[in-house]
Formats: sequence, C-alpha cells, structure tokens
Amino acid sequence: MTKPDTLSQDEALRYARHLTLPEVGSTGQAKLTAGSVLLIGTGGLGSPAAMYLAAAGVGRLGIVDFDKVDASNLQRQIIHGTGDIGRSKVESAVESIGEINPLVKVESYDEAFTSKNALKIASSYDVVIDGTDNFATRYLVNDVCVLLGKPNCYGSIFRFEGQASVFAHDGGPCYRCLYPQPPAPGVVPSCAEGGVLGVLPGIIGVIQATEAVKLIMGIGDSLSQRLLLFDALAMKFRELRVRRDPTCPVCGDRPTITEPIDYHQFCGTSSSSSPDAPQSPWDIEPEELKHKIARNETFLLVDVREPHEYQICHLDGTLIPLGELEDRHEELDRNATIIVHCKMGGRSARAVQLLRDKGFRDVSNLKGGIHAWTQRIDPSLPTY
Amino acid sequence: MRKFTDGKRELLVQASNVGEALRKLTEAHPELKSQLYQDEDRLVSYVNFFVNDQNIRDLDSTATPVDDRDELLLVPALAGG
Repeated sequence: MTKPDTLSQDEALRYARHLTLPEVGSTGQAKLTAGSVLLIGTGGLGSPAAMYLAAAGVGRLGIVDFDKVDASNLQRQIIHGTGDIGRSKVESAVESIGEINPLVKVESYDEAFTSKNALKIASSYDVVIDGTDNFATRYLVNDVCVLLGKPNCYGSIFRFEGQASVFAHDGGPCYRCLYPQPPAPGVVPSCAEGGVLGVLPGIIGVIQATEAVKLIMGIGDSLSQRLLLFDALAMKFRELRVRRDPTCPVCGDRPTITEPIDYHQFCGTSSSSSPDAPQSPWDIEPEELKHKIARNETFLLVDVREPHEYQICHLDGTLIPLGELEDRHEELDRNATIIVHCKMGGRSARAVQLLRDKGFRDVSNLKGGIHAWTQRIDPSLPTY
Repeated sequence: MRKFTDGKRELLVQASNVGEALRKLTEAHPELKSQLYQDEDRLVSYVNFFVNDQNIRDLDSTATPVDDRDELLLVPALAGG
C-alpha cells in the first residue's frame, strides 16, 4: 500500500483498516482528519460516540458537559471509569480520548450548553451530535443546528428503546418537524425515573457517530428524512419516513425562530411545580380576567410568547415576546392597566417584574397563562 | 404508555381509519387517553402516529384509512441520552 501524502507514517498505520476500504481510503481519512464534531453531552450517547470518533481519527472533537461523573453513570457511560467518580465529565472524557487517540485535538466546554453560548460554541464544528438528556437542550441543539446549517446527528433513548436520525441536513426535516412541541414537564419520564438498559446508548450513540463519520467523508446515505427506531428487547430496527414541515417555526418556509429562545420556558421546566404557588406578586386568576372582560373594564392584554406560539392560539393580546420587551416597553402606555400572559405564567411573571421596574404601576400576571385560561375558561382554544 | 396497556407492546383492533383505531384503543385502555389526546379530538404533539412508515400528518391525519394489513405505530418523544 502506498503511503498517502497527507498522512504521516503513524497515521497510515493507525488508520490502515480505513485506508484499505476503497470508499474511505486516504482521501476519506484526510477528510476525517480535517473534520470536526461537537458532542453535546458526554453521557450514555456521547461516551461511545466520542470514543469511536476519536478512534476513527476525526481531527477535532468538541465536548460540552457541565456535569460530574456519578457512580450511577458507569453502567453505560463508558468513557468514564470508576476512578473518575466525582471528576468533571469533560475532564474525564478528554483523558480517555487522549488515551484512545492522541492525534485528536479535543476542545472541552465544562459548562451547560445554553441559549447564550450555543451559537458561539457550535459555529466552528462541521457536525453536531445530540447526546443530551432533556427536552429543553434538545430543542436548543436543534435550533442552533438549523440556524447554523450544521447537521444534527440525533439520538435518544429510554428503557430498552432508542431513536436516531439526522436532522437539519440537506433540506431535510429538523427535530421540531417531527416533534413540534415538547411534552409537559413530567409527562415523559427521564432515564433517571424510568431506567435505561446500559448497552442501549452504545448502539444508538455509535449510530450517531456512524452518521457523523459518513457526513464528514461524504459517503453513503444519511439518516436524513428517516427516523430509525431500535427495540433492544425485540432486537428489531424499524425505519419511518420524516418530512420537513413547511410551517416549522425554525426550518419552515417562514421561520419565526431566528435565534435561540428561552428553552426552559418553552418546555415549561422552570415554571412552578405547584399550581397553588404564586408565579408573581401580582397574579390574577383566569376567572378574574374573564370578569374584567365581562364587565367591559379597560385594560391592555400583552402576550409575551413567541410569534409561532401566538399562531397556535391567542387571546387577541398585543404580542411582544419577552426577549423584546426591554427594547419595546415604550410602545406600552405606562399609566394603563396591563395584564400580561404567556403559555404557563413563567415568562409573563418576569415581564410583569420588568415592566414594574420600568415604572409601570398597574401590571398583573395571568397566572397559569393561556394554558390555564384554556383549561378553566375556554376549552375550545387549541392547546400546545 | 405500556403501563396503561398491561405491559402489551402490540394490540389488535379492528378499524377502518386511524381515528377509529385510536378510539377503540383508548376505550379498551382508558388511561391511555390522556397520553394520546390533549382534548376530546386533538392528539398530543409529542407522540407521532405512523401508519406503517408514514406519519399521519403527511397522510389524512386521523381520517387516514387503514385495513387489517396496516400497523399503527405510536412514537413518543424520548429525551434520554
């Protein structure tokens, strides 16, 4: 075998079984060496994905995780070992990757992947692997991939089953096209609650890594427009068609999400778990709003959700998304009686505080948001 | 969802369309209803319903016809990683 020009002797030896494959060869290996992958999460999915990508010779790996290694992780998170318990996951992962393949450059982000840092972190990588464990971060990863035009090698797992796909690639659908809205908090149990078979993320995570390697080399058919389901108990794979949704708020024909949003609000994960707990010192109940409307009282209703949420259902309020309220509060009359609402009451509670801080005196929060209104006053409204 | 179907992974129902199949399914297993419907008519958006390999959103929604050769798959969003 002729030694490829672009690879050193050590590399040629290390990657010999790749170089033997005509579909890969020195050209494909050089693409891998020049390629980069960002792994969000070094848990069950991120562990095997990172290890195989390192072994395959992907030149640069970014790993994002804010967590520390816990003994309960070790049943499946194979990049970490017993001696790593208590260490930061990225620190432990960097060490393991260095042992697998010291030729790989690793960039570690010992922090949460958030709306504030996501675009900056993801912008310098070719491919993103979603190995997160919660809906809020999955929607964030999805939106960031769509906004940056990066393929999202998606995988998720629960108990004995997993899903994998490639989103936001080559005109194909994104995660939101498949799942437009997250379940309400607590409806779908997490792996922590429901358990997960330890080997399962090994299978799904390696499928994600396989897709990343293929995308970097430009070979084969990706999982774009296909959702792969895996059932470990039945030992069955199934494949389903997924189409891009032209009305998708992020990858559709008229996107309304053009930058990362507040994903905890979107997923309702930061709203109070007790329905009786106040959301704001200035809460009003849906019934009180109904009485105000019935009595023809003068007030201004402000809706601080996102435009795509407004499209689903609204109460004819003035739409000013929470993120724009700081800049647009002067559009509102500070002497008016204002009632603010959102989906569940969390964002509007923050909006009420913001407006009161600006000197607005008569501002209230619709407790429970349009969700409570729909449940208790007008069930004909669509819920989401 | 299987905790509401006595642990069964596959269930057999006779129906001419998806809506009827889901109605019979939730009649047989009433606790499934809140998992699949957000109100009397509307399905939740975090579960996808596929007839064989096609999403009913890309077909005729709950009016999508089915016969005894078809499989209806319920594919919920999973967050675990």
